[in-house]
Formats: sequence, structure tokens, C-alpha cells
Amino acid sequence: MPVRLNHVAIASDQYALNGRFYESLFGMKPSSKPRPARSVVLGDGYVGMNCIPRRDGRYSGLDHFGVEVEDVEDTIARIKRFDPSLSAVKRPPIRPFAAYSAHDPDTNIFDLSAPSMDKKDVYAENNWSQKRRISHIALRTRHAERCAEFYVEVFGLKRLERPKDDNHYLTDGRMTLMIIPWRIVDYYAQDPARTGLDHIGFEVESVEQVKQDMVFLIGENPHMRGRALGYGSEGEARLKLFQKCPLGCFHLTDIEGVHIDVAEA
Amino acid sequence: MSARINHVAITSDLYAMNARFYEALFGMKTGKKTLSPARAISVGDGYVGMTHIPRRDGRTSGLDHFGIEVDDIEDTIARMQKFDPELQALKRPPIRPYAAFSAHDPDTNIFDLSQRNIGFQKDVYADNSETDRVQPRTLSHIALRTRNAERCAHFYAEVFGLPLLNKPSDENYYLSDGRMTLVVIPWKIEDYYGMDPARTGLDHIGFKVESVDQVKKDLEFLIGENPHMRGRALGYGSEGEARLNLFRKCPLGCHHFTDIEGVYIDVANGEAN
Repeated sequence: MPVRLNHVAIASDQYALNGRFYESLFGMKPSSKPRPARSVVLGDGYVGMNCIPRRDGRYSGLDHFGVEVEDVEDTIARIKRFDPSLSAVKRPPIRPFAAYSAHDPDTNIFDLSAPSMDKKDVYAENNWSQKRRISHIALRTRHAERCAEFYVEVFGLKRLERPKDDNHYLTDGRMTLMIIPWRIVDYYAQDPARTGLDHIGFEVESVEQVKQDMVFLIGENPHMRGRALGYGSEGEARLKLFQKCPLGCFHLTDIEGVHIDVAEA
Repeated sequence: MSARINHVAITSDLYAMNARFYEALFGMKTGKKTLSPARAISVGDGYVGMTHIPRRDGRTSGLDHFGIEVDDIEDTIARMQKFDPELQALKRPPIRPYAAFSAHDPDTNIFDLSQRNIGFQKDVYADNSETDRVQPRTLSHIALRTRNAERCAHFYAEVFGLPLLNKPSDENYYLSDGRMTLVVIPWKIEDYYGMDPARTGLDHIGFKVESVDQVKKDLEFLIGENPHMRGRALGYGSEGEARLNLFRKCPLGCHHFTDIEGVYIDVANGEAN
């Protein structure tokens, strides 16, 4: 049962600018058939990233991720077997990636697609390799262990042996889904963040080069600057919590404020 | 045990403008002694304080959390843990105008806790407890959309003593502190056919106003005065229509729009409190 963690979506009022940021800094490529009134779709050859215009009543930031499976119907049956109260909803055909949306036991939403689907945009074209690519998606959720069991049992993701921390690391062979336990006590001296997607990570050829490229980009275009990290006591507390992820060694945000960590492959 | 649902927080990159929107349209007022201009902006309606928080790195924007004022925080935390020993609370830094603790319900929806008359509150939260200001437009409800709605409703009823109101035949739970209503709506992914599923959490806020028609006129006037006072377009396209139809299911509002940030607001005619 080969599965691929190959979709991530970010909702933003600055979705177009944010798309340009990922193109510029990480070399992600836009779809060859863009639909200018809808979201900006980019890819790194494996993962497709949708920068979605934020809609009325919705939150901005990291929104959901997606999993490609061999057989969507079979996956939905596995979801139901894991927990009969979990359900899925069919998506409108306009979507470039998803056939269904579903959720885990903590109501974290993910999209489902299958290779046989008539996919669009980069999801139909994702077959190249590049030196900067998404390596992990981190989900912070209250019942981390049960959610990890869910992704293992339903999708067949493999657990990785990692250093002693209480996170769960699941892999599809290339991408890692990192499940971090959410505890309100981790938020001392800062506003507690809601549960859900926490950050994304990139593997790069050189962290130093990424830093230099960022400085260059901001010089070229001041709008390419992300959020300041680590300022003030609360900023410091947020950064320290973010820095606990062992998969990244340099920390930044995109234009929207989404946390990104990078490490050398 | 008399709990007051008297705090709501919205995070936004446009937090300053969003606060002006609530001042301009709903007549909410800033505090007599506001906090540092570099921090959040709080406005109040005489009962509920609304804090507009600058969105910070790694955080989502939109309706963020709500808050409840209680007689005794320690007792409330004990009740929470009696309801479910896994639930926890977190002491907050003293700079906060409202919260002494943050905590969460069984579905991990976050709320702040404040204790009445301990001199902790600042800004509009201090003013709100001192005065009985009456204004024609007041917050009437906060709607929370969550998966285990029944369990969460029982949590708020048991821990805070909020009575469940008998409402028309829908699946929602209506809990009241005597003035403000907490609407707990079941989140079901099937409700999102034809649109992107929204995450669970705070869904919208509602106001009681002296005249819905006057609110509509005031909104037009404000946009004429200042084009930045325009909220988001609602109901456009098939997905916009699906989102609006779901929002309209709340029976407590009859006119629907958003603030500058895109937060859903519904209004209805009602007597001022």
C-alpha cells in the first residue's frame, strides 16, 4: 500500500506573494497550467503546495495536508475501521489535488487523492528532483499517540526511530509526518496556540546558502521578508518551542508567518 | 457560582484597523487606561471585552479564543479536573489585561479564565467590571463549532454552571450566563460539501442591535467614509454560497457579514442589555 504525503496547503490574504516566496527561496515550481483567479499551486517534484486565498470566516496559516493513496475507497474503509465515528467528504471536482477530505481522531483535516484521479496542476506533473525540498510536516495535537496509530494503521506509514523525545515520526519513505503532543503547559509565557499543523521543514543543499539567499531576496524585494522571530520574552518562548523540532537547525517564517525550519540533507 | 462569558480575542495582521471597525460600527469603546500602544487593542461593550491581538509568528489569524470570568479560579480548575482529570490550565504572564489562566475544553478549544474582583483586570476589563454602561449594540453570542459538541456543552454547563437553554429543534447547544450565549455547534465534515472543510474552533460572533436596517445603513456609510472598513464578500460563487448557507444556520442572527479580518458576524434586533 504505497502512500505519499504529497500535499500541503497554506491559507493567506497574501497567497500570491507567499507563492512567490516559496518559488524564490526554495525553487519550488509553479504549475504549467495556472488558474490565476484561484490558488497558487507550486511543487518541489514530490510535494505540491497550494497557497490558498483566505476565504470569509476562515483562519489563515498552515491549513491542511494531503495524502495520496492507491485506493481512496479502501482508505475510507480503513478510517472507519479504526474509528467508526470518523468520516470523509467528497470534494468539488475543481480541486487540483483532493478527491475527499477527512480527519484524524483529533479532527485534524487532511485531503485524500489517488494516482488514478484526473489530477491537475503540479499534482499531475510532480516528477522532478531539486536541491531544496519539503522534508517534513509537523502536526501538534493533543492525543498524539492515538493520532500516530491512526496514520500508521490507516495509511501504512512507517514509524522512524528517533532520539529520545515524545514526538512520533512517521515516514512515507521520503516525507516525514511528525506528530508532536500538544500540552497547554508548553505555552507558559506565551499565548497558547491551537492544535493543528505546526510547521513545515525543508531539506536544503546548504543552510548558509539559504541564509544568504534570504538576505539577497529581501534586498531585491522588501516584501520577501518573513516575520521577526525570537523578539521579546514571548517571541523567545515561541521560538524555543519551535526549535525543539530536531529536524531543523535554522528557523524562519514565510510571508504569512508560517514557521519553517531547514536542515541540510 | 456565577460565570460571565466576557472576553473574546481576534488575532489579525490588521488588528488596529479591525478594532476601529468594531468601534465605528458597534460603538465599542476602548478602556480609560489602555495598555501599551505596541500591544493588543481592547474594546468593550460594557460587558464583553474584545481584544484585537497582533498576529504573531507561526499563529493563525481570525477568532482565537474566548474568556470566562469566575468567582474563584482555583475552584474552577478543580471542577475542570473533576470533569476530566486530563484537562489542564496554564498560568498567564501578568501583562495580560484579562486572563489569569488559559485552559481548554475536552475538544482542546482554548479559553481564558479570569477571577472577579481580584484587581487583576486591566484596560476595558477593569472598566467593564466597574460600570453598567448600556449601549444599543452589544455582543450577544459566541459560536463554537466542535466535534464532540454534547460533551463540550456538558463541560461548560458543569464546570461553569452555565444553564442549557431550550432552543428550537436544531442540534446546537445554547448555554447562557444570563446575558451572553455560548452556542456549541456540532462540527461534521459532511457539512462542508462543496467547500473547503473549516477547522474546529470558534465559528462566529453575534450582536444584538437596536435596528438591523440601521446597521446596514451604517456599514454603507462607513465604507463611504473609509474604504478600508469593508469586510469580505459573502455568498459569491458556489463555494461562497455553501459557506454562507452553513453560517446562516445559526438561528440567533438574521444579517450576516464579516469584519475586516474576515471573522463572521451575525446581527439581530434585540433589546440592549
